[in-house]
Amino acid sequence: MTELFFFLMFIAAVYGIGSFLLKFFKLESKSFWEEFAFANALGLLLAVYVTLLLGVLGILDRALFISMAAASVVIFRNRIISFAAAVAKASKSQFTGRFNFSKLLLLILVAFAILNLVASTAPVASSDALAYHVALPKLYVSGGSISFYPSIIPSAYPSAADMLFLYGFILDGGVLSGLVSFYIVLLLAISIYAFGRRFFSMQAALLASVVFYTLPLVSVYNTRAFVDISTALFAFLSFYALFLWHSHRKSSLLVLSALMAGLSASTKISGILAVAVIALAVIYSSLLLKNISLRNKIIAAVKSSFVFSVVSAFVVVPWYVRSFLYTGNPVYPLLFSVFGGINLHPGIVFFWFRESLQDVGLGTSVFSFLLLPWNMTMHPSAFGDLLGIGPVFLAVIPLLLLLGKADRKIIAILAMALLFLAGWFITGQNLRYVIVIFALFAVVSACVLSQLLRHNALKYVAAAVIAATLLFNSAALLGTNYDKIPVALNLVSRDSYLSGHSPTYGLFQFANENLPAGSRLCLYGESRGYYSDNNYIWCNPSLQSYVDFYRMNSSQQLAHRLKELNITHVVYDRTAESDVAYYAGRNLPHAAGVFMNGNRIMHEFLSERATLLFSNDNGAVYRLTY
Amino acid sequence: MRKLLIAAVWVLLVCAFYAYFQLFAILGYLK
Repeated sequence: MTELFFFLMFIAAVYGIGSFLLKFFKLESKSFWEEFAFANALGLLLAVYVTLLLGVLGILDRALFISMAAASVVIFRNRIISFAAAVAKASKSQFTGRFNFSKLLLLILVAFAILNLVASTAPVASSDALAYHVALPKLYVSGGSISFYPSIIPSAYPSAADMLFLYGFILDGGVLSGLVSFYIVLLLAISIYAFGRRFFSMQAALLASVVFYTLPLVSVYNTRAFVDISTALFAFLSFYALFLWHSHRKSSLLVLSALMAGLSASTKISGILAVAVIALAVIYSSLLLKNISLRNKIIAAVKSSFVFSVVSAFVVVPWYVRSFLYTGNPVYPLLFSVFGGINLHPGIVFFWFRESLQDVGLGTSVFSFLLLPWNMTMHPSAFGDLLGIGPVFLAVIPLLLLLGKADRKIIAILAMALLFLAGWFITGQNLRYVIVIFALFAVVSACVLSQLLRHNALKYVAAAVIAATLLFNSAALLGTNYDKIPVALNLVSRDSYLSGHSPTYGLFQFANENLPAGSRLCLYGESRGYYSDNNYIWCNPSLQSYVDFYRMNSSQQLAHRLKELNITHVVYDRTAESDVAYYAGRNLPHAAGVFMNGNRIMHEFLSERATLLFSNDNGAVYRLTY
Repeated sequence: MRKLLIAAVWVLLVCAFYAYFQLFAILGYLK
């Protein structure tokens, strides 16, 4: 339960300081949810950079982080109490009186949120979180500072969301990192609600929030401590602030939009798409100014886009500088042919950015683009996600054509979604990379559904779509969390849950309990090192070239390299053997080739210089003698 | 009435195809 206490403290602290910062942006919000969304986003922005600064300075001290959160809660207590009182008052009015459709939607939202909250308290078990989103925070805390781990390429990525996971980890461990992820998803649902309420209607706002929050894809990433939801949250809030700026033309709102876009780009390299798309929208919006000459419109567009770009750059550039200082490449490992980068073999870069990205999606032709709405809905597994987005967008958005002339705001939202979609289509077609589109589609779908519900005949169609969607989405939620909830409620043991989710968990358990202090592991066939309490490096042939299996051809070379890196033990995951066939089957010859070479060398090396300490069905732990 | 018919047929088609494709995708995953 301590994690829930620290979780509430973290939210209150973030909101408190963010609410104070928000007053400088003159939002003049009439909705407390709107104020809540932007206040939290600013609080998170501050939390990201304070954590980064203290981490780089080597001051990752738990007492300090608790004190900062506590200080924010105490100093801004009046703001926090006022907000809590406003929510309590609104809730009271929602849960009294006659039961109606809005109350049903709210109830569904609350039920989903409670289930997601419970599931989020399960131990960290998702692949990328175990490999780096929560594993790196654990390494930073145990190492005392934020630094570059040369074998773990993602340690040089823009990591704004990972800084939030790090804050959570420092407060109360990995589960709190997962709860921070849950909170970010909820914040996005609240932001969608606030946006719908501000620009459309209460019903559309609630529907949009429910449509988004119950999407199968969102249920999957709710509890996974991935960064993609953060990328989407800040991109959506940037878009939201842009809409506000378009209506009010206050430069503070443009700055707010730019800060959010910069923060989105700070969570993931591909998040730069938000800056590009919204900068285009800023230019377009300036050209729509009325009662001024074309020349003045162009001057306004240049000025606004300049302010937007400079402020966004101010937020995101620290990450590029950090990456440059670590590796010599500001966007490591991207643009290798331009900037190069340490410990990087061109084969790895080719595999990561050509082979594996070409492996997701259904082509980049014009015809493929036109078929995207159908394919993204019907074949989500081709876009890297089994459950996808459900049928709601494809079923509902085309019905706009039946409703006569569309609202200009809806057209603007669709145009923005189209720009995001086009950018995503030509870069990496993985559904989770562009969750912001689904937030925008949720708003459009909700507006269409809301209009249909007012139509005499079409209201039955709207009701059927809502019912079918919620049915599919509830099944997806339960399917996603069926194993997390029992372990979160202590009905299943943590060890048996983790043994099922992380094949090498048993190997790490053995290593944690039996290896001498100061041991340093080479993880072969495995990169999910979160549950290792020993220091380790990644040795997977296709994920790094710090131990470069592209250039090696003998066990002597491997021995020389591992000795040079002070490696004392190898944790060997047997999936390394099946990975060759797996990559070959997916038409990834580069990865299959380097894995085949790596396996040959590693097997030779282990038979010559290693002593088997422990073995199970999933792998083995070896001690090395040089 | 025409609008109702078009909307109903479209929604039914989308939901039916989605259920069909998802069923096979999930069965394939579970296998």
